[in-house]
Amino acid sequence: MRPTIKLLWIDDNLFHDLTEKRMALYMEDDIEPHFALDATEAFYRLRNEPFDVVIVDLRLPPGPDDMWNNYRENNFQKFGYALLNTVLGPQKDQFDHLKETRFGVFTIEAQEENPELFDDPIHLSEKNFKMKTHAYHENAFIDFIRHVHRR
Amino acid sequence: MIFLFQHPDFLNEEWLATAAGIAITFVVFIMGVPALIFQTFIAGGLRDVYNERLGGEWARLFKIQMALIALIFLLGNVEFDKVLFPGHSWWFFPICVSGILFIVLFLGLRSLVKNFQSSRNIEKKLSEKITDDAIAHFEKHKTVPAKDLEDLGILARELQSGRVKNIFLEQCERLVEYLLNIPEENRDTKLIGEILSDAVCLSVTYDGAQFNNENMRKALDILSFTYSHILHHTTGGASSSYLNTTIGNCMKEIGIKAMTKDDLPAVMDAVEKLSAIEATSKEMFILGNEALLQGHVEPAVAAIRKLGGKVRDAFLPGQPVDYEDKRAFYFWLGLVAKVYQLGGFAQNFAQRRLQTAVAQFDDARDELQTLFKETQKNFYQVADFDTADAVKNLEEVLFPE
Repeated sequence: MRPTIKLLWIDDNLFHDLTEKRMALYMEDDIEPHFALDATEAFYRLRNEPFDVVIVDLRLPPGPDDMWNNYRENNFQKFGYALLNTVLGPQKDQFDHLKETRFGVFTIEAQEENPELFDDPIHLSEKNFKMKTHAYHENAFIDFIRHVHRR
Repeated sequence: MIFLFQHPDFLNEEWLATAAGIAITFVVFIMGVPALIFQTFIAGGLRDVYNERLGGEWARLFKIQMALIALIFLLGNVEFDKVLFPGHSWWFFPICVSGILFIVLFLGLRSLVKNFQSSRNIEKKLSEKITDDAIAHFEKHKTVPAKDLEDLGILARELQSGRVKNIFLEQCERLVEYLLNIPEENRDTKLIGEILSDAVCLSVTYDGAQFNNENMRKALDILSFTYSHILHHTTGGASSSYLNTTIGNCMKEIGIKAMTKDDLPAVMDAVEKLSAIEATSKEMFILGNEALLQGHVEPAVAAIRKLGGKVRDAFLPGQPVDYEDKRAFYFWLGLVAKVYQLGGFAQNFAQRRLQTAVAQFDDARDELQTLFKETQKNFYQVADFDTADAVKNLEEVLFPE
């Protein structure tokens, strides 16, 4: 039996466009899926629990916490980036339990639009970046999660 | 007033008739009719709250205007005129009267335009006013008056679902956030719990409430945020346990309400958020079971996976298991047994979930069978015979005589 991957998938469309992918994750024996809909909810879940894999959408709503106030200017929408930047950057010490966690990005934007993801402090591997497309099948997404976990 | 006009030097009858006419027209048309129409914009249940909270502005304006009209009458009296403005030019009086009349009419018109322009924001203004009042009162007296909580409850019931209710929920969020940010030693968790259950939760679960997915999600977000905040800013104890219970109950109620409206995304969201809260296995079971009763399998699958994760983490070989973890196992097994009964692919899913558990108890089959018996007893004790039977049937499949 494969080891179970404890996954946190953060995306505000989980209950709309991504319903099939979300349900497909529940049906996988080796994946224990958890979900968050905004940056605040994700932040507190990440602070509280260890996860093996975290998949983030870049265009996230901030959620109710004031901690995102610094970002709330100039129509800033990439609270997924803000979350990654917070968890892997200035507040890293609070997330010691995530040292072994693998981070991935699953978003509608192209890789070239987000060069900052591959620099300090996030250092995302290019292979852990996947662009959302309509033709992206559930199985391919599940394989992407397993791939992120293996790296 | 009439006395003022009895002297020959005072205003003549024509002046009196004109001034009185203006005053009556003003009262009836400029202030009276719009005020009456304006009241019809406010839903019946909210009218009292509106009049108490925001109606004072109209009364104040009306008093100012009445005072100005009385001033016109007084200025028209030659005797007063002589005392107030001795030796002034002849044109002074008509300028004063015209100026005052202009001010009166301008104030009335401004109020009229303002009220009509903001008639669609009455509910927003009301929500903001109650929240502002509650925060202001708390700052002075360290408590929120019962009247404010009562009015929030009225708004929760009476406001239309959709955008208006979301604005109300945002104001509730503001109030809860304010109360959460108070240092732990002075924080009133009971008060926060009351706002969550009697305003936030009630606004979407109230019988007469129309269904709106956005409102459900907003209410769940507020509950989830409150839990996270308490978890990370509290040292623990009875007060946080009270809030956990309240939040768990509210989420369950919202999930059940969403279920009755066939809004599965909201139910799934409730299951997801419940799973992040300690000691809510019963609530997750209730949602999963209710979904099965309504003919929906997806929330039950989600609840089984969530409870399964808790069971897997708790039941480690050679490790003692506390009561809450055992309860998680009972509720997990109850749901698995119910799904197993559905047959077909549902049975296949249940079998796969069971295999995981059985593999975990590979060297302790007796222990697993004891847990099956305890699960049946647990459901029998609460008269959930249906689930008890389902578990018994599953036991007979797994442990044939």
